[in-house]
Amino acid sequence: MRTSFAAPRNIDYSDTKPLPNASESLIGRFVDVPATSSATSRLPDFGDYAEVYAVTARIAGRINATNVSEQERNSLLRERQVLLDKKLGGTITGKEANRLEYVRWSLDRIEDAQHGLTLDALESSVVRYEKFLAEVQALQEELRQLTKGNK
Amino acid sequence: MSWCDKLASTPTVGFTLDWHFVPSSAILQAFSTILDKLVQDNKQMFTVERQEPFNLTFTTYDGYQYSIEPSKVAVSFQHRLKVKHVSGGPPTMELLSIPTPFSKLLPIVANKLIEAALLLPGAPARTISRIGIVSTTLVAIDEVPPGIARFIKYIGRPWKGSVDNFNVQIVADLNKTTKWSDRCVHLLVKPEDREQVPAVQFDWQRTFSSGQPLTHDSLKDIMASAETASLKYLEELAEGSQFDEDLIRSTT
Repeated sequence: MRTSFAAPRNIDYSDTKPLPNASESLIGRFVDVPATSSATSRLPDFGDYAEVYAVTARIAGRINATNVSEQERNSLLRERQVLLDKKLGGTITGKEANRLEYVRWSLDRIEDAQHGLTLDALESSVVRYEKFLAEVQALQEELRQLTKGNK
Repeated sequence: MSWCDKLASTPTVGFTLDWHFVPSSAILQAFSTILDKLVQDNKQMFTVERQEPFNLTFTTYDGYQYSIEPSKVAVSFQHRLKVKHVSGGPPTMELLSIPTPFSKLLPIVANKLIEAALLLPGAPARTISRIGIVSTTLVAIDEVPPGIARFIKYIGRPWKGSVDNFNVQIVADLNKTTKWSDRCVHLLVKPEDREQVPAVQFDWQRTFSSGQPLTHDSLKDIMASAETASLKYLEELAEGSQFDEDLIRSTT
């Protein structure tokens, strides 16, 4: 069977016919948001494909965050340490505390890019097993009811 | 690396110019040097989205949208997906655009805009009154940078944070000199429909007190300073000290 996944750099445009249930084969348009002051307030509209886009955007974000250089990550770690020292020493200002929160968030995003896919796969396995467990329990219950009825 | 990189934000860059009405067919003709390059394997790699008497919008398959109006020209990037049929299986979605960080996309979009602006009919005689740089991010509210989360919390305070969905637009003046003034249109949208992804858009704009010449060197200069100033403001928003009520109280 021919596979459908192509690397982004190796694009296949061989099929651009719309599907019967898809309004168009290329998805991603802008819609105007009522705005009095700016003509550029437009947001992308993905219609029924918004969820697919959201997943894609997350993947794209992770790819970007994975590309953070070791130098930049180390710089963030150093900055976090300096700000934490100030916090523990009781000399941190409000602005610095906000900066600390932002640096932590940035490091979290980098960590998510490194381990997020594995954790997502793990989470989906857990969901699958939980669903399986629920189905087995439902079957057990059904068998118990049937056994009761036969007695 | 900007927070926009980590959340796969997409840029739009645009110029506001003096009004000049030209039929859209003339605009299409003027842009033929760009369109002629958009061919791959004997296939046209763009679609014309809108052609009205004086307006033209076309989008390349790799996600760059050009929009030309009598007083505006803009180039934006957004990821594009394609429904792809597969043999003996259900159709799948394919990402046509290449995932690229916002800070790398921004200069690409900016260069495309400069190229487009110089092709506008009557370009040498026209002037630029405003430049805008827009960052659009589709992101769950619990994943936004802490400063933007603080912004949302700040707006929802009168209702003690019990804000289920919102569509907020705030236009704020930022800086002013004798040569230009900066402002930003902040747009936060959390739709009622849970299936829809919330959107955060910041439309940073620099308006010049006098028209700037539409030449390559002038556009490069305008663009470079606008990129620096807008990215700096985006970082300030992500830190969010301006929405910190303790800091606000201490300065008033």
